Amino acid sequence: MKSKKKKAFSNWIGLLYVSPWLIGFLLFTLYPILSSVYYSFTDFSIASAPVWIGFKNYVEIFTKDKLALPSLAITFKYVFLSVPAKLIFALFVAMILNTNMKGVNFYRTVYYLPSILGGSVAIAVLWRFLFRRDGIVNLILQAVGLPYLDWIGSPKFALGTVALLAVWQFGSSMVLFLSGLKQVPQELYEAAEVDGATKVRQFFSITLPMITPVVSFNVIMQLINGFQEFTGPYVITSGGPLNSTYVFAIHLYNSAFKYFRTGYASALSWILFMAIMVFTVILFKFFDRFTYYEDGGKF
Amino acid sequence: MKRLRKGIALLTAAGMMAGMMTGCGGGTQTAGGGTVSGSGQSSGQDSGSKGGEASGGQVVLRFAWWGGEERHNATLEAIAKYQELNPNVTIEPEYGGFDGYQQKLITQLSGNSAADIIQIDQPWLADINKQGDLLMDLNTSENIDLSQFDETFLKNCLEFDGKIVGVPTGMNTNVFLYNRDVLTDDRFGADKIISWEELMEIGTQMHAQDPEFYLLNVEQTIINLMLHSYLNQQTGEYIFNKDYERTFTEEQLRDGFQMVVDWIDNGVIEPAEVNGIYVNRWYENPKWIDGKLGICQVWLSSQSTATVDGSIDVGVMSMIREADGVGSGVMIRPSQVYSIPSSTKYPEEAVKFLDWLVNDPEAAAILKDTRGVPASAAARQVLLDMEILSEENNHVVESAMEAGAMTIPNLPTGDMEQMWLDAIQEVEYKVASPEDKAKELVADFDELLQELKEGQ
Repeated sequence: MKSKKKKAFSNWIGLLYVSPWLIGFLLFTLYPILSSVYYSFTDFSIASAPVWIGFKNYVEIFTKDKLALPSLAITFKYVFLSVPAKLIFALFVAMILNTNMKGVNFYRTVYYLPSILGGSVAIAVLWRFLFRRDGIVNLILQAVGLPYLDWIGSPKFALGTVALLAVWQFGSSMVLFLSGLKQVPQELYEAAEVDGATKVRQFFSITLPMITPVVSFNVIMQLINGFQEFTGPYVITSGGPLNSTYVFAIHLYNSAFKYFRTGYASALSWILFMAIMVFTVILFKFFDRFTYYEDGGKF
Repeated sequence: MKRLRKGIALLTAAGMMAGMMTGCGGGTQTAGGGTVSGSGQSSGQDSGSKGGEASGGQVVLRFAWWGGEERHNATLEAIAKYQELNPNVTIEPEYGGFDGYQQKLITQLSGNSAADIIQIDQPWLADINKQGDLLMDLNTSENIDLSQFDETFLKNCLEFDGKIVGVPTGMNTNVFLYNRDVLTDDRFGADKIISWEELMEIGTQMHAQDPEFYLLNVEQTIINLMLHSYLNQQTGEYIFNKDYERTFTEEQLRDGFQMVVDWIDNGVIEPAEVNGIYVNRWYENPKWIDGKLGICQVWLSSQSTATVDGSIDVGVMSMIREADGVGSGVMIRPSQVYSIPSSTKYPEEAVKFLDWLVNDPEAAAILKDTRGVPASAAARQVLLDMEILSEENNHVVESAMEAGAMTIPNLPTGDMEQMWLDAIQEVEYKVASPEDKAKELVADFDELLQELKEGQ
């Protein structure tokens, strides 16, 4: 009896300890999420009270809004351009930094820096400086006899140039890959070496299978982030030229803060949530079949 | 087992880092559109100021504005002066940059927690007014001298449902500026009028002489302004009127679009792929700084932006127009507006401060032209006497008023601007011909006007 009471008490103590987080979560995360569900069924604008309009917002997104679906398509394109490129690059750098070269810690820090700079306005200025018609990138291209490109100004290339910013911010994925690479037992490579496996063969038969948990984690996280990408396209191109970088998050932002259609923007955000959700579930199923866990995957 | 535990620990740590990264990402996002502060003294004072009248009839007024360093300092100085003259009044400044100001203001207005005197942008007023009586009608107060303002100007820009909801902080008009070091011949000057055809000729000729040179420094938003002027000169009206009716014909719009295409083909403006990088920041175009672009169009209050911190010597030009045009093509609007929210506890004290701020010679001398050319005649005179306001700029504003500036209806416009910008881009990038795009835009525009009319 006494011990039961004591256990209940210690449960309360535990809750008390986590209460700052719990209260924060309930008030600033759960409550806004739930209210956005409600708002998505209203014509709420910041300055006027919400009025229930049923599924009208959702119907508008799919039937009337000339930008919603195209911007979703652009977001998909952006994700498929940036995520694989970023991860391959991050893995590549991580493998270089996984060697015992001199000053490796310095390089690790340096390569992480772009991720900290993020999508600040200064970066947008830098990007324009690099990629304009008479910018440095084109100067290099012309120096080796290639024609120049309108990296940002042309609707054909702008999305790729913006995606490049995401690729450049590969730091956090790189750190994760690095931790994964460190976990691969050295004996495996030694055994492979003895059997005469090439470096390429070692990579595909040992490294990659051994780091699948990190790969799957990275892919899923980057995908979720990629779908919500706002800062890069917003600061570099503001969605232009010809709406070629007008990603869904910009449409959402404009609806809420340019046209003050908060209810409509809530509906848009739930569409985005659904899209991310579907993709994440598919990826989870996909990785379930490939991922190798040392303990059988039950942790 | 040990290795596994270490692995999990590493993964968790890395995961936390990733979490931090996403956290950082989220942070930048809000910084882009959210916060207003950044200059120390804003917000955070909201709670303190509410019941601030306690000691001996002391009145506490909150004053919110956005701006740059120069404007902040001048305004703070003016506040100090007013407090010195009126010891019973304390004014709490809430200031910062423009980013996020609108969002914060609208939220505060709807929650009845806005400052007692607010700086506001004129285009927001139509939407705010639609939400009810959020702003005080200044006609109802004896304490402000509205006669210092041009009556039609006040009526056109600030009267909503018979109420005067604010006073202009300054006057703004669209002007053409030319680089004096580059365009040296006598066709350019404040009193010279150039037609659209002459503009094309000069531009074509100069580009032929120097393929690196383009006469006009434009991007889509500037082209949009110029098209509005071009159409106004043919119709005498803004692109739509008070009844939400389109005022121009499809042919007129097509000719306007054709002119833009000709500009590109003749090298009067840079191709879209090049100028498109500088949307809303054309003054960052290195060609402008190098003197390889001759003319730009700006709002007069942004004149200093066009000079790129004084490194380019610019002169004011008259509006480009045909001699036989119906309208002047000149827009005139308040730089910003001062309003008093209806929720204020001290309406008369707030009005008194406002009157001092816009009409008093002493205030004018302190504030100078930090909010554009003053709209109040009294304030303008002070600045002319002090030689802060150039004769040239004063002339531009006064001749704009005389020219019969185009009147922009005080009505909500929804995503009208974006619709025009998209159309202009399609013409500029040549994905649509002027004929097709004019036809399409007219149809879309009529549809939007109809919707806006029904939404009234």
